[in-house]
Amino acid sequence: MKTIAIVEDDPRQRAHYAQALREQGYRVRDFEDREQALHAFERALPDLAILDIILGAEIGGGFEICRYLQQRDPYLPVIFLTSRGNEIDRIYGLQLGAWDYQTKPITFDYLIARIVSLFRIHDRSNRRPEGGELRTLGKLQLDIASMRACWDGHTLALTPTEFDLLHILTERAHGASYDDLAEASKQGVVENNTINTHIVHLRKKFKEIDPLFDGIRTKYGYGYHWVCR
Amino acid sequence: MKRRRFSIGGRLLLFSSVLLAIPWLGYRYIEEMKEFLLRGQEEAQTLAVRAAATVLHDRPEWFDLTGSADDPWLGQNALYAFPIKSSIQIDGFAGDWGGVRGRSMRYGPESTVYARSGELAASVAFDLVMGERGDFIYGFVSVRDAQRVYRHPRYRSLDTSDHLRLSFFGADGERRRIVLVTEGPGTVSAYEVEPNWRYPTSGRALPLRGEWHERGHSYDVEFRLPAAWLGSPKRFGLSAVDVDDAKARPIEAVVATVPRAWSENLNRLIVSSPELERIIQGLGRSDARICVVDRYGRVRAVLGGQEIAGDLCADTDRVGHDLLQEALAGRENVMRRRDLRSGDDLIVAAHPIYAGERVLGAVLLQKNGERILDLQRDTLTHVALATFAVLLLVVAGLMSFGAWLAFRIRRLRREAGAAIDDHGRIVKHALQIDQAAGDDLGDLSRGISGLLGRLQRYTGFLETVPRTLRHEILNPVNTISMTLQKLSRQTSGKDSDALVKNAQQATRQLELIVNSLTEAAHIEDALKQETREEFDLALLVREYVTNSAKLNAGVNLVYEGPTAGVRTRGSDVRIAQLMDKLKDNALDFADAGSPIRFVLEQNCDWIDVRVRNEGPRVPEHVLEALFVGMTSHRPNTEGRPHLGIGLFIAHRIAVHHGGRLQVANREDVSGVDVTLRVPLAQHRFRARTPA
Repeated sequence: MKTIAIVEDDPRQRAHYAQALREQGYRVRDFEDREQALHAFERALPDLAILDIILGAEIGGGFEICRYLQQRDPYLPVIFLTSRGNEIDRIYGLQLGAWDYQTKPITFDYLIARIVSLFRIHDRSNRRPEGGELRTLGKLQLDIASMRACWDGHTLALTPTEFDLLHILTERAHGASYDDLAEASKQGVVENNTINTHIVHLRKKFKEIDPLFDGIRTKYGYGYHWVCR
Repeated sequence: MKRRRFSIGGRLLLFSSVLLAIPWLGYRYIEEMKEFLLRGQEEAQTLAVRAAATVLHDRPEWFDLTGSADDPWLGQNALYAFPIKSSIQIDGFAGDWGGVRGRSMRYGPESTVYARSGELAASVAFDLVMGERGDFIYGFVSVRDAQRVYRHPRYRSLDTSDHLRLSFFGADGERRRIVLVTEGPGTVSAYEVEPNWRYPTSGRALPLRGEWHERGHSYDVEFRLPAAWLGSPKRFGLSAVDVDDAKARPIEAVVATVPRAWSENLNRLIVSSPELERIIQGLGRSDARICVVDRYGRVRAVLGGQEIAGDLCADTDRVGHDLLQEALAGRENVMRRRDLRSGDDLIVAAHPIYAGERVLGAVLLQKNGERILDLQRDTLTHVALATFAVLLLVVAGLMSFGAWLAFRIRRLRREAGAAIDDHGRIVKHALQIDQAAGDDLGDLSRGISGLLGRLQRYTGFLETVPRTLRHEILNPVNTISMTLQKLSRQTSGKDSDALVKNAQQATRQLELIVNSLTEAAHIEDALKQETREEFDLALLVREYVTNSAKLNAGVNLVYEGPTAGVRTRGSDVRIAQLMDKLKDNALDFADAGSPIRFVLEQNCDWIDVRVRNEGPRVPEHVLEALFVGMTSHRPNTEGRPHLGIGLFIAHRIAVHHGGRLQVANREDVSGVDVTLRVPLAQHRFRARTPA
């Protein structure tokens, strides 16, 4: 049975998360603040951590815990709970890798879907991937099951959200609308700007491998369009 | 009102120009000092001359000619030997006598002591001037005689030719008579003769140098004799004897320096007095000349004054003469004058010498003020140089100090200006410049830093408000949302489902509100982080309109303008977001079914994108407030929050792109134009490489 740690300062929300996850069959350990959490993590690490970024008076408390966890186990899946906005950029600023985030208010279905994907990615990366559903679009290779993407033979370090966006982009021949993309991001209320930010990051990751990458075109007033065939 | 601008440097320059008065003050000071010194000198000279005069008071024996009672004739007809400064060549020419030559005495008919014809209007007359230099007494006689008869070598008697007769009392008190004769122009011979003036007492000529020189109707004789030959008091007489008939050689006329009635007497010869000189010796200096003059203006003693060019005692000296007349009239006087030849400043003082009530003569003192002037000139030069140097230093110092101050102020202003960005946000909490400076500018800098710090804390507080608020609101919203989710799972039933759905709808709306508030609060930060690149605005707007028309069925969106090729710089997705806001705004106000036109126009260096809708007008007083957040004039529409944030964000994006947003009521139909104006990309002429 997988253990999930929740660090959330609001007791009611914490209780809701815990109950919802327990219903899904996970073992849940919940903490109110950083100190408590770190104290417990010293003894045993969870399999996945859900961290609220703001913990009481500590504005970046979640980040601190994440840093600690990364030191202990670089592959430990982490989901940040944010109140969106510039905090997304802060997460990227920390370059925490392929860990994901969810914005409040959270839809349980999405949260659970995320947890499942993360465990899947984690399990797959621990074992060697063994030919799941592989899609190849020119230079792009998508492993849907393990949520892995390769461009020109190089692995793209994508968050689950980014993978989902890329996936939907490649599936819509005439471009994916903002609504499609918001749906695929498996997040609550998603504004166009959030999608734009994700696409910017996605393009950046492609360009790290291929500086001339121009596969994601903007369809103004509509959404984005994957143009590499 | 436009304020006139004076830089600190300019003001310093203006104020420091006052320093230019310093050399002028120095000059004035020196002038005053010179005047003071000269006055002091004048006082001193007056005292000196008074002292000298006091010594000579009541000593008529040094001035009177006879040594006894007043004798007007003797006094007036005394012969005067002028003190001669330059050496005299005995050559018959008067050129070396200088100014003295003009003071010769004329002896004519009225001085005739003998005339053969019995008429006084004799054919002979002479001018005589005498001088004194060293141990000699000089004479220059100019005799007017048309008919010259020279001495015949075979004649023994000496009175058979034109000749001069000198007569004086020797040192032994004996009267001596000397005749100057010549056998032709040239050196004259001098013989001592008997009282009848005819035969020499011996055949030997006397050692008396004389030279005879002829000029037309006259002849000149220049001679000198040792002063020691004359006794004391010195008495001397001279007469010219005329012989016209070369055969019979009778004496035609005798003209003498003494009139006939006194013919046996001799003139008193006045020379400068060694006694007087001895008395006033102590007063003479090389830069001061003292003259003692008798009441006829004749110089009796001269002392000192070797350095003085002008001669006070010479008759040509007008000022000296006036001064002398004043003194002889019994008035002491002092004056300053400039020697025209040498340019020196002289102080001249005169004081009368009394014997009882009678003025015997005067003492004149001439002092060279040149030393004072030299001193003044040197001082002036020094002061001028020193003040100039100091002035230069001070002005340079002040200028550099001013420039330094101005530079510091400018630097401080720049830094303080840069501490707050164009949008009024604080980007620096403290200034670096002049923080450690101990002066007023340091205080200013620290003051501004303190101000910025306080402002920063306050804006920091303001900036955290939305974040905190979001956190605080979203947490309960989250709880509600989760509760509702659970409820929807646990309960079933048509009514409760509808209720839960409503509640979920409301939480979504709350979430939207919080999100748009947050977006507005952080739009600046978000914009700043975005990269700017060149993109085609016409392409964007055209595509945007096409895509939006597809997505929003039943909405009439029209694009008017070029299909592509209008480039600007910035963030394309932000412009698309701006278009979203403008489109939403236009849709909210548009009459149903009316077209919304996106008109793009390219001007010389900017682009206008006009979004035009038909519908109600915007009241004029609201137009300007539209871009300020939280002002919405939208008719209340169902389901969506209206905080007036859309246009606020659009405006921010436009400003971020170096452009602006304007709202105006349409003139053709009832409706509103919202115009976005952004600059054209600067390198729009750069040819794109053909594919």
